[in-house]
Amino acid sequence: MEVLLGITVFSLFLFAVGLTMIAGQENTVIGGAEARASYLASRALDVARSVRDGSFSAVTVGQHGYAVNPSGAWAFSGTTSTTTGSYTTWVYVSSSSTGLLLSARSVWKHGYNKSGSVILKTELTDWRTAGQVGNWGSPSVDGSVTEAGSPDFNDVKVVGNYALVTGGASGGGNGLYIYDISDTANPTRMNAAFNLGSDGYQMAVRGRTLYVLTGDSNAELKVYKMTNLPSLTYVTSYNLQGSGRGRTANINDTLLYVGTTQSGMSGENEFYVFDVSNSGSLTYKTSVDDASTTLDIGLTGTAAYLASADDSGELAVLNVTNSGSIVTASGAPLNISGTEDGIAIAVSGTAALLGRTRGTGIQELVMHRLPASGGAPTSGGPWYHEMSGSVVGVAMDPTQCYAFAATRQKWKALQILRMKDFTLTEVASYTLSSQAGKRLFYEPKRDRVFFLSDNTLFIFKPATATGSC
Amino acid sequence: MFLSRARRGYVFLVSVLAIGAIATATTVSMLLLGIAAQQSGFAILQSTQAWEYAQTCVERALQSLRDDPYYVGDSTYTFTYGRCTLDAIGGAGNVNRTICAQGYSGDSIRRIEVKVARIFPSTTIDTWREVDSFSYCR
Repeated sequence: MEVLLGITVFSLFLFAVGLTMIAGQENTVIGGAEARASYLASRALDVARSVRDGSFSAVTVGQHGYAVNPSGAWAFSGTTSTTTGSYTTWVYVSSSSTGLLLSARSVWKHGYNKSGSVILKTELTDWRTAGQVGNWGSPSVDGSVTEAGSPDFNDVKVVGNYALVTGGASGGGNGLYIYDISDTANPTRMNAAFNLGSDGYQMAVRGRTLYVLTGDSNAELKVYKMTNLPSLTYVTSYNLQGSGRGRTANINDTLLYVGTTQSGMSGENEFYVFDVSNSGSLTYKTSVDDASTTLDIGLTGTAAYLASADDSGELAVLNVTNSGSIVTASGAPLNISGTEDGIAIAVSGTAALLGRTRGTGIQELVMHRLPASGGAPTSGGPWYHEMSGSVVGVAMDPTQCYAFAATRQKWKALQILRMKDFTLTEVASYTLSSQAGKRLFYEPKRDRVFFLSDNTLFIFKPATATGSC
Repeated sequence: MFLSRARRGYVFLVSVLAIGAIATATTVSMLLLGIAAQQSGFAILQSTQAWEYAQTCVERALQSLRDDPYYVGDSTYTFTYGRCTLDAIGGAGNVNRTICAQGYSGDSIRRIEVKVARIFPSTTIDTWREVDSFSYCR
């Protein structure tokens, strides 16, 4: 009897042990299957990325399997893919507001009840599709809008479907104008009731925050939220040293750089740095007294390139460290022949364009090559072009094929030059019927030049959407 | 004879106990291994999903930079199985921009940092790598 009882109890024990071991074994199998399925689903998403890299339009909405095509590249194939071990994998593509939503699923069934599945999700966007720089050899006016009275336009920036234009207020203007440019052939004034309350000079934009320099003697730097353009919401302001001296601003990373007119007064500096990492505030970091007017700032890396009125250093180069300290770059400032002021600058990558006031003995447009690490121009150049007028605005396309220059005159107020071969030869120009050129802005997404005269915003387009430079 | 039967019972009892102990230990080990394997499988799934969400954030950032050169990042996007965050986009203008993205799913975090050589006319990438901690973003 004891033996029978013992055998029974032991058998039950062994049965329990066996079941538990099988359960443990199944857990191990499930864990392994899940890991393998994750890999397969991830590979399906990689395949979709690979197809996208070839052509965004090739990633069509629907369910896709995948395989290696005869040329050895991943490609969509059928609606599912079966892998050794009875894993079936597919990726389902659907469109979303941001691009394409991808959902990869891998399912398996091993035996009677050992089944399962995993899902991985990701998104793809169309950032690989190349934009185009058109043929700017014969541009034309796409659209324009003229303001009555004396708007005395100063600066233009494009933010989404809006162009922001600063201007004077002392002559009855509004100081800041907002145009809907969703149809570039018909720019339309929006929020006409907005009034800056003082002259508006240059602007800088970070995200949906606008920093505008004004003639307000107690609040030269004003900050607005643009989350609901064309409405602007005032955020804060900063009173620069002196009165109404702020002229130019630019932003790199989280630092806002501001240049002013020269002041001989003690304690009135000309170059300022603010921390704008918090879009709701301005935090003063430092400033320097460079004893000359700064009318434009170009930025790349940690270097700031200043169009300066300094007769012996028309192109100043400052290095700004993370801590906010400012040091003059080695080899700077650059003293360019003549004493005409530097008044406009555009910097992108390793190219810098400097515009100067008109002079009889100088060429007003100067191009420099910059070291990749930033800093003062080094070997090669500079290259010059005679503009016959003060160059008040400069820009370049992202391929650095064309330079765009606005001059403070009616004749050839807009000039387009070839800069790729360093010749700076004029390829096209536009002469105003009245008024004179002010600043301009090149927008790469639309491949358009936004050009200001004293009272008109012009939008120029290239002759053809595809150019060859 | 009596002693012999008692000894055999003792041996049997000890054997049963020993086998039982070994079986119990083996079973517990297998159970724990199974649980650990399942947790590993789940962790791999979550880690892979976190990676995909980090990729999603980079994709969104690159597209946003093409749509709006003033785009600053500094955003969080929430999804079905987790979320991703973008640090502030580094640099300014068309060249030398940096993107730092983190993907989260469950307890898993994956980080990707990207150095963009230029945005227009075609976006070119200098570096696209997974990192333990960001070096491009302050």
